[in-house]
Amino acid sequence: MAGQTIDALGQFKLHPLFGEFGKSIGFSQSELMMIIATVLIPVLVCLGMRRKAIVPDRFQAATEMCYEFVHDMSLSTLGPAGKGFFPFIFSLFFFILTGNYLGLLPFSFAFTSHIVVTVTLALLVFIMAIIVSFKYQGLKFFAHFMPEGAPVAMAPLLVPIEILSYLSRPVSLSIRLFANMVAGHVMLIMFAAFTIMLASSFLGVAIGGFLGIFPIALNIALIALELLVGALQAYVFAILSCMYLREAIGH
Amino acid sequence: MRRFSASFFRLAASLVAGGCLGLLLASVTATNAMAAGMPQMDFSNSLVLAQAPWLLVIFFILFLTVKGIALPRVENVLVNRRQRIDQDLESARQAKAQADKAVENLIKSRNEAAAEAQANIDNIINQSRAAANEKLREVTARLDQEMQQSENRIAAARNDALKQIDQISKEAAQTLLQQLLGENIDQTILDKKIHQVITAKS
Repeated sequence: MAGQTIDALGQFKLHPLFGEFGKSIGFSQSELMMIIATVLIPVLVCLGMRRKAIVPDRFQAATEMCYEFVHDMSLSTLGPAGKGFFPFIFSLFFFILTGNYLGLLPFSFAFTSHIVVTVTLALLVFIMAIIVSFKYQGLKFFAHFMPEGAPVAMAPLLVPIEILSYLSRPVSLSIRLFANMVAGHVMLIMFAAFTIMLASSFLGVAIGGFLGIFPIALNIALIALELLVGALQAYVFAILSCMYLREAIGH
Repeated sequence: MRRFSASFFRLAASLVAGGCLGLLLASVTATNAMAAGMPQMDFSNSLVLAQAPWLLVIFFILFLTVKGIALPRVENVLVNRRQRIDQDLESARQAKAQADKAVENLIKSRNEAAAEAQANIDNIINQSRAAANEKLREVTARLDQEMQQSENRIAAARNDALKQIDQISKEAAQTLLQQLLGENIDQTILDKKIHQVITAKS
């Protein structure tokens, strides 16, 4: 990384953990972060709610706020049926959010920057939506591919378009999250590398090192942006999942 | 304040300018920065695809933990709070209803007491008025009676007086005539004349 090249993508390389055993079961730092997120979410919720106070302290209020945020989101988009999907949406939102934020810590890894992970999550939602569609609407599910009120003559054109747009949902859902996280982390490492390059360039440590302050300042702003992007992408993923599920329920 | 904002802007401007210069120099010095293939797309690394089943297992565990342990705790607290608030509201509502009822009773009993007092006052006024009227009537009756008696007495006295006038006038006339004429007048003529005068006058 130091020297004259920037290895912006090396940070996404997966390494086996726990030696040969980890390699044989395919366990990398990505899975470790997923497990940390999986432990962190319920533990934080339980810690926040441990006093069970009628009048909450700050931690409990924050926990309740998180709960009510996702609760309102799923109920407002899904209606009364949203209560059943609420635990799933909650898990999804906070899994992605925690993954995004864990990735911002030094020496850690953002598993949401891997397309395999985001595609798996998107397919999970997509397949779930299809199953829910068949359960709630039966064969009327296919009626979605013909927009209501459109002339029948247009069907040969409209139906393929609708099917394509339906199939592109998991693609857009997964690539949106993946690309945002990759871009953020690449930018962070680029600017961090600029500092090292300036210090080790022909300008010398005195001038180059001083100029290196500016990429760091920019990186601080970028971290703030990444905090925003991390929350926003988790929200977008969750709300789009809600909308797909709402369509599946047949509102 | 203006001085501060001016110096702040100067600082910000120099930071931006320096940043641009730094970035420019950095990109010049990093001309041979290169992008290797994306490790995310390196499917020859078995770890990349292994994420999918791991993710499914881990996410399923997260889902179960969240659904079974984490969310019910929050929900319990929220439900308890809502119940508590509803109870408090309900008891407040009941207390208000009781207070309203008490106020209503108070007003009602006050009105009743006022009406009763007014009735008593009216009663007493009526009684005293009746008593006064009774007394007035009694007094009037007695006065009427006394007046009647007095009138009767006056009438009797008048009659008596009128009866005696006859005699007095005869005696006066006889005395006068005797004094004037020096002789006695026949009693019967005198009586007759006087009687004529009196009857003519009355």
